Parts: sequence; C-alpha cells; structure tokens
Amino acid sequence: MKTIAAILRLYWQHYPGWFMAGIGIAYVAALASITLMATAGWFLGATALAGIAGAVAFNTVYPGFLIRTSALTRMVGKYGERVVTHDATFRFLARLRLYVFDGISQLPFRRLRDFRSGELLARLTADIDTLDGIYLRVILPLSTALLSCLALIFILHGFHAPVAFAAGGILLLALILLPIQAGKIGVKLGRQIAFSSEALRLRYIDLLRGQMELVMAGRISDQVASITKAASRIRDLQAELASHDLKGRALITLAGGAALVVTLAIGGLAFEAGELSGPMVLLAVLAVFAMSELLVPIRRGLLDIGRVLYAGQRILPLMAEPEAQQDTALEDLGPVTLKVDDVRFAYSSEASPIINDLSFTLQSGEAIGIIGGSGAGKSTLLSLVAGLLDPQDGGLLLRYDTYQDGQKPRLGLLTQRTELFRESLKDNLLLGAPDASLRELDHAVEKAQLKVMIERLPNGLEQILGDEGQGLSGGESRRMALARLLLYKPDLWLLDEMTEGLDKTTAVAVLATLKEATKDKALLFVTHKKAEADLADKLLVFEDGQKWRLVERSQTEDWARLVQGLR
Amino acid sequence: MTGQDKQDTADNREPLSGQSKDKGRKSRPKKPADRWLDAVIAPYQDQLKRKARLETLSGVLAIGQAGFLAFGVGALIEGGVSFAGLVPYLIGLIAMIVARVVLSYLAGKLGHSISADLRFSLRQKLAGLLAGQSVLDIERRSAGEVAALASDVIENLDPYTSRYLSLRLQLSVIPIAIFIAVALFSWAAALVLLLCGPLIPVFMAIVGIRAKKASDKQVAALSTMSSRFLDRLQGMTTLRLFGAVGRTRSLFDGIATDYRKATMKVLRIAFLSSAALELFSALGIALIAIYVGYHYLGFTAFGSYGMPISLASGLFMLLLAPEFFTPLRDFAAAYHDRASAQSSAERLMQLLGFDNLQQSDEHNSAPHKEAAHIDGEARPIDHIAFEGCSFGYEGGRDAVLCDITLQIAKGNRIAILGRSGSGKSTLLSALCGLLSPLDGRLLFNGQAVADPEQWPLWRQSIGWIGQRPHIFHGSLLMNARLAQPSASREEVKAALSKAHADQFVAQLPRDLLTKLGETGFGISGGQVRRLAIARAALSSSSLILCDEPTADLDADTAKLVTDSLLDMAKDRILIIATHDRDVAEVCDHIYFVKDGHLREIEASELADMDTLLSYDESQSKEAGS
Repeated sequence: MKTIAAILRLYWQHYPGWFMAGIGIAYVAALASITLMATAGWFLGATALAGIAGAVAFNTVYPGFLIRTSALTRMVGKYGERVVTHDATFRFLARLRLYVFDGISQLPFRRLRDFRSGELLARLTADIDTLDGIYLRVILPLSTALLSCLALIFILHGFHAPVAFAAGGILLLALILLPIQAGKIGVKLGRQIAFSSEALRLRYIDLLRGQMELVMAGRISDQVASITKAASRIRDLQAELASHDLKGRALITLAGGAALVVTLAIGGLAFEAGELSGPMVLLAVLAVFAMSELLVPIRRGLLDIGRVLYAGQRILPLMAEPEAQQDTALEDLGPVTLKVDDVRFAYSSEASPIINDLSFTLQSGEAIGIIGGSGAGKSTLLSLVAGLLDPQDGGLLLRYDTYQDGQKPRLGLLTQRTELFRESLKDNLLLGAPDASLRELDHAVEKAQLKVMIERLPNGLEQILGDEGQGLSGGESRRMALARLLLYKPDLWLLDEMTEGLDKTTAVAVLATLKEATKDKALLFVTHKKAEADLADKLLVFEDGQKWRLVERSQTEDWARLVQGLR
Repeated sequence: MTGQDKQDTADNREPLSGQSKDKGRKSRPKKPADRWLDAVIAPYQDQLKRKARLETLSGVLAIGQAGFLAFGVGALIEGGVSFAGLVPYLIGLIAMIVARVVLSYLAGKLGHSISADLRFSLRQKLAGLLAGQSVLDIERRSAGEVAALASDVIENLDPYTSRYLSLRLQLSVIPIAIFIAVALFSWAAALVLLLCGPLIPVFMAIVGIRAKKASDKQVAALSTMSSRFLDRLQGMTTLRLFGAVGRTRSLFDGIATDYRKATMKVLRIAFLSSAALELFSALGIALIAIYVGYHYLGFTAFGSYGMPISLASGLFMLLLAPEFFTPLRDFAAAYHDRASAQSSAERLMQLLGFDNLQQSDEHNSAPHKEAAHIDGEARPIDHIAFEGCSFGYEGGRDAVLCDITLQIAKGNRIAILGRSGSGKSTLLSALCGLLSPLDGRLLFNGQAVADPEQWPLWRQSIGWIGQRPHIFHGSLLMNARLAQPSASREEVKAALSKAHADQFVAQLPRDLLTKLGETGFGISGGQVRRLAIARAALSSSSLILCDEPTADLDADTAKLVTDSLLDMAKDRILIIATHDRDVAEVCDHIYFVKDGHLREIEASELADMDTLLSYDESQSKEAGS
C-alpha cells in the first residue's frame, strides 16, 4: 500500500489540477448516467399516471430537458474524462521518466555498473509504462463509483431513507470490501507472476545464448524442460488469479443485483404504505440500475494492481529529485593535481584487497604508466581515480591547483569498453563539446585516425549508429571515444591499453595524437606495450605477491628491465 | 538436426525489426497476422464456441431480468397488487440475476483456461523450436528480443483470446433478441434502437480506421522514445564523466512533451469513436423514454400496434435500451485487444511460422527424443581422422574448407591458425557434429561418424570452450557443472584450480554459490574463459575444442588462460582455433588455413605469419583506401 501511496503522492504533487479534474469530469459523467436513467424512469411513471388520470396538461418541458441534458452531458463527460485522464497520465509518465533519469544519474557509479546489462534497464523502462494503470484503471473508476454511490444515497435519502440506506449500503459495502480483498490477492499473485515471468525470460535467454554450451553438454532438453516448468508455473498462477477475478466479478454483479432487488422490495413496501409515489419508486429502481453499471470497470483494474505495484517497487527506490546539475565548463582552468592517499580496495568485504595502501601524486604535465600482471588491479586503479569505484580506505583527490569557483577538473577515461549512443556520429562527438564547430569535429576525427573510415560512410558524420555503437568495429568505437575526448580536453587522462587491437600504423599515429593532447595534462595509463610505456615519466608497478612500487626514469636499470618485460 | 528443422530456420530468417510492418497492410483480404492468429486459435474453436454460447445466453437473460423488474413494478404501481403479489417477480428477478452471474462465471473460466493453454503451448513450442534450430544460426537474433517475445508479447494475446473472440456471437445475437423483445410491444421503440444501433459500428469504423493508422504510428514513436531513453540510461556513466547529465535531461523533457502532444492528438480521434457510442446509446435511452412518456400522454399514439403501452412494457423497453448497446460497447472496448493481438502476432509469426504451429507438441519436442538416446556409454575419442573432407554451409556457394586430410592422436595439441572467416570455426563445428562433410569422411577411433543419432554420444566426450562462453543465470557451481551435473563440490573445486580459476572464485562474495549472470555478479572476460575451461575440465571429455581462447584479453590474462588450457588438456586431444601466435607456439602441431586449404607449418614460420594474421580491421582498411 505504501507503494500506491507514494505513486499517488507524486501524481498529486505535480498534477493536482489534472488529477482532480479527471475524477471530477468522470464523476459528472457518472452522475449524468444515473440522472438519465432515473429521470427517464420517473418521467415514465409520472406520464403513465397522468395519462391514466387523463391530465393532458402534464409539464413535459422540465423532465424532457433534463433527459436531453443528461444524455448530452454523459457523452461529453465521457469524452472529456478520457482526454483529461490520458493527458494527465502521459504528463505523469514523462515526469516519472525524468525522475528515474535523475535517480539513476545520482546513483553511485558502483550501482551503475549493475545496470550495465541493458535488459535490466529495459525492464525499468517498461515498468514506468506499467504505472499508468494505477490512476486510469484503479483510482479513477473506484473513486467515481464511490462518489456516485454516496450521491445516490444522499439524493434517495431525501425521498425515502430506508431505500437509500439499504441499496446504497449494499453497494458501498461491496465497493469498499471487494477492492481491498482483490488488491490483497492481486498484490500477492501479481508479484509471483512477475517473478515467474522474469524467470521464464531469463531461461529463454540462457537457451539462446547458451545453446552451443547446452548442445555440447547434452543439456538442451533440460533447458527446454525448465522453460516448460516456468511457463506452466505462470499458467497455474494465472489460473488462480483468474478464478479470484471471476469470483470478484460475480460478487460485485450480485451486489448490484441485490441492491436492485432490495430497492424494488423496500420501494414496494413503501409504495404500499403510501410513503413513496409510483414515479419515485421507478426513479429509485432505475437509479440503482444505472449505478450497477458503474461497477463494471472497477473489477478489471484491481487484479492488475499486483503487476503495477511490482513495477512501482522497482521504480520508486530509483527515483530522486533533480539535483542542481552543473554541466562542466569546457575552458582551460589551469593545472591540476591528483593525490592518491593510502588507498585500499577490495571488490567485497570478504574478498582480499586488490589494492593495498597505495599512495602517489600526479600533476599536470606528468605521465604515470601502470604495469603489472592480470588481476593485479591496474584497471581497478583507473576506475578508482575516475570515481567509478569507491575505496574501502584512504582518499583520492583531484583538484585545480588554483581555486576555480567549485569547478571540478575534467576526467577523460578511455577503456576497452566504450559507450557510444544510438545517435549520429556527430551527436556522439558533440557530447564532448556541445558547441564545437564542424571544423573542430573534423580535426578531432582526423587526429583519432577516423577520417578514412568516416569518408567511406554514405552519410559521413551524420551516420546513425545502431545499438551500443553498432556499425563500428571495436577499434573504431574506441577511436570515436578518443575523438570525443580530444574535443572534451580532459585535465586528467585515464587510458587503459590505448593502442590495443590497432594495427601498427594506426597505433603509431594514435600514440602521437595522445602524446600531443596530454602534453601539459595529467596522464595515468595502463599498458603492456613498450611503445606506450615510452610516454611515461614514472612507472607504477604491480607485481604478483609484492607491494606496489613507483619507478622513475632515472632508475635506469630498473626501468630498462621493466620495459624489456613488455611487448 | 533434421532437414525439416533447417527448412524452418531458413524460412524464419527475416529480421525481427518492426520495419517491415507497415508495408503491404492495405487491401489484402486477410492479413498474414490474422491468418496466423486463426491458426493459433484453431485447436480451441470448440471451447470458444461454448464460451460464446454461455455469454450470449447470459446476455439474452437480460431480457428476462428486465421483464421481471418492469412487470413487477408495473404490477405494483399500475396493477395495484400488494407486496405479496410482488414477491414472485422478486424471486424471478433474483433467479435471473443469479443465472446470469453463474453463466458469466462459467464463460469467464472457460475463456481464461483457453487463453492460458494457448499461451503455454506457444511458449512450449517456441522453446522447442529455439532448442532445435541450428546453433550456427544463433547469432542472427537478439536473445533479449526473443525472450521478450516469449514472455511479454505472448502475454498480449490474452485479452484477445479471453475476451474479444467470443464477442462476435454476442454481437449478432443479443441486439437482435432485444430488438425482437422490444418490437413485441412497440415497433416505434424498436425502430429507435434499429436506427441508433447499427449506426454505431459504421461511425466507429470510420473513426476507428483513422485512429488505428495513427495509433500504429504512435506505438512506433513510443518504442523509439523508450529505446532512446534506455540508450541514454545505459550510457549514464559516460554522460556523467562528460558532465552532460543536465543537457541530456532537458533533451528528454522536450522529447517526452512532443510525444505526449502527438499521442493526445491521436487519442482524441480514438476517443471520438467511443463518444459516438455513448451518444447513440444515450440518445436511444432518451428517445425511448420520451417516446413512451409522450405516448402515455397521448401525443404519440402510433407505434404500438393500436394498443396503448402499459407502464410495465414502457419500463421494460427502457431497461432494455442500455442492454442493447452493451455488446456494442464491449466490442468497442475490445477493439484495442484485437489491434494489440494483431501487432503481437506480426512479431510472433516471424519466429513461429505456420508450419511450427501445426506440429503437434510431441513432434516439436525433438530435443527430448535426442535426450532419450544419450543413455549409451560415453565413448572416449582417442584418434581423429579427416579423409578428404570438404565443409560448407547451406546456401553458401562454395565449400569453406576443401579436401582436408588430417590425423590427430591422443595427447596431441593442435593449433589451427588463420584469419577470421578463413574456416577455423568451421573445422571446430564439424568436430562437434554441427556440420556434416559435403565430401569425404570424418572418423573417430577409426570409425566413420555420419549418423546424426550418434552425435549426442560422441559429444559426451567433447569439451567445448567457445570464444564467448555463456554464463547461465544461476550460481557459479551450477555454471561449472553444466556438463557434469552430478559432480561433487570437491570435484568442482579441483577443476577450478586446474583452470587457475580458484583464486578469483575465492574472492567472490559467496564463493561457489555466488550468483552469476545478468542478475548476479559480473565477472571479467578472462574469468569467464577460465570458468569455461573449468567446465571442460570437470567433464570426462577426451577431446577439447577451443575457439579463440585469448581474443580480447590482455597479455597476462591471455597467458593465464593458455596455461590453464594446457594444464587441463593433459592426456586429452586439444584443438585450438586461434590467431594468437603465443598460443600456437605451445602446441605440438600448427596448421594454417588459407583459401579453404589446410597445411602444417613449423613454429619457425610463425614470424612470417604475423602479417597475415594481423587484425582484419587493418586488412579491410587497406582494401578500402
């Protein structure tokens, strides 16, 4: 219930007008429906009596007007209700998307890593779309029906209290109890169904991606069996949900029927006792009849509530108020210093630390190369400096040497994994420098050794990329990322095996470009290659089983031995 | 792999993207998606008919319900009966209400079970189809998309099957029954219904067609928007490192607003159709009420076959007026169900073609059959011989590999070198039995292997380490013993240490029980390969096939992986496809594949090979410039 409340509160905070207008218009339309039937019933009764009595001078203007007006109001109201509520919902969903965007943008990088898998994020995006149900299919019909029911009791009460309370009481009771019960079941089963669907989806993914492994291990039929199992579990759960749904529907229809029967019975008694005129009995019967029609849409939304809640529970913790985001300025603000102080890092509290008591200082104009074996923590160190990981102990500080009005120095991280967006090449580059001119873009592209590749493309820089930079080879993606960094002009460059996977000529050219770009900047890079190590002023060495050490170029013997060990 | 299966995969090879959707929509009498839906539903026709009959009966009983109510009120007010006289009417009314509730309940139950069975069977068929398709084709489809089809898109068929399908009978029976019931008392009132009723579908169709077109476009726009949103969320790390979060946010704000405005434009049209329905239904009620009322007053004496309309019959007609429109309203509401089922069908039928639907469930579970044969003894492979083999792919023009003759004995370590696409992987596929020789013979232990039924047995002796081993959703333990589910934890630990994977496993949060995969802990590329090596080490396989074990790895990790591989493959046959010179150097025999031919080379020749083996990228660039 907390989730519902949280979602509604959000709705209420941002769109109180739309929220209320939707319910208000729906309410007017519902009242018009009831009025139409009730007036028509009363009109029939009154005219019949007048006809029998031979009173030709019956005033038909007023009831006729009421019938026509309520017919028209009902139509316009229903149309208006749909337009308003849907518009409100779309506004709300757009807002939710922004909130999720804000929330994710404020997550620690460590958590962002969990989202690497696009499928998880895809679920989130779908979850947002699911949340429209709570207003449109639950709150709206329920509040409309409740309000109409209260209005019915109030109006009938003026004519005959027992009829009003008996019929209205039955409907009200049904309107309060059934949703609560349906909600409870919907929450429980909906969650289980969502869970099983997730399992089913993952098992299909395993079947597809792991088909080769499964075939070779002779386990493919096991995988099919496990999919069948998940599918049949879903079927069973849905059957259970359906049977609750049907029972709920039966009950709510019976409640409507009971209200009708009770109205007729009490109305009959009151008529006999002379407490209620014939036309008034008709009015009451037809008003209750019209009211029971309003109960229909309530049922459909309620059992869906579990799915909505499940989506909400995944979404809500991620949402956050927008932070005052200051986009990084791009002008050169002078030299920076990186201070790494007694940093210790392990991937989990149980795991043994990868980096132990590491300390060093790096200044603009300086370059430190990191060398060492696999898993020694080289790339981890880059991630720590970039802020993608948090150290268990110790501190990392990067700042301008002279105070620059709170501006943070710009970081440029280039790893084996590059993130390009499904936009044109140009837009991808502009991410680095939104105001860059075409000439600057061309220059960056040329420096990153991409010119030939881009000239070959039919649309040149306007070429749109596919999923995750699809359409470019791994090496080309990395050079795109390099071009983007060249435009961004980082104060601190963090490079992970910058020429890996490039052919010799390109590697030489890229290295020259980097050398020039990082000339008076701070540079920290991981390498395995002699040619790359040549850029370094110092080498930070991680050797198996030994403490890290920093080797200067002046320690010629040590230096030569280390470089010799590289490729 | 049977010929039938291959045929299916070939037929289903169209891209999954929705782009082809808009083409060829118009004018065809029955769209393929509709025919596909019909085929899916065919087995349930009888049940659907029964459901439609139950619902129709419940709808027709509304006449009885209105009758008891109207004539009860009439008896009370007009006939002057006492409350006791009202009781039979009340009982009749209750009976009708209960009967209708029971009928709808039964119909609903039936509808749900049809829909659930249908979805279950589609999922099962899809799993069977996917399991049976050629492994070599697998990269063509995005696993995420197929999984979404199987879990979410199939779900979209529910409202259509459980609600929409049985509406047609109701639509043709209930309004006519009500029309007749009303006409018994007054042809004028019946005429009102006749005029208001049929106009609705006409009007709705006009508006609906426009709305459908526009809404298709909107759906496409929404998915574009979602995917752009997703794209940016995925790249959040980059956005933040570039300090571009604020910029991206305002961009999205704009996109979302545009989308909302466009959508509302469409929806306003769509809502017009339901407004039309409301208009006519309200008009019907109002006209009947006014007609009957004026009739009582003597203004409209016509229309009742010369007899005056009683209060009861007037009320009866009034009560039936909304019921007359109910099936129409349900139909209009369900129109969306149909549209969404159609668009789901369009996507599903690209995977599950008509042929697959018609297969019975038994036939479909071909992999189960295969499993049944597996019970035989595993046969260790001590010796492999290719005798003049050629290999190629279906549909390919030429053989990829020609006239391969090669002998490999137990304990041999073989490297197959060559540029990507030269046929290294083809050779490995042939050794897995995924590809039969077009020419020549492949022999294991001097025995020709041609019978596909025998392959599952041979595969028990083959360990496969792919280029990108898949990590299954589950614990590391489960992943490690994929090929050997009965292995003990000690055996798993031993295999992991053989694969030099014990150290990183010890660093995982929950050791062997750490959950891996999408929802679990991420492990690096080198770690994944070592885990795959442990998998193979755990199995009793006597032949280890390994595809590009060191691709995309840094030198140290590459060394670690190569060492693990060599350690693990002692006393087994090891065949490695690679273009890494360091890996080739440690093997006993090195073969080089070029232009479809295989020749053995000496380790000393490797230096010259470097230029030939260097990355494709540089090659293609030379070709391009």
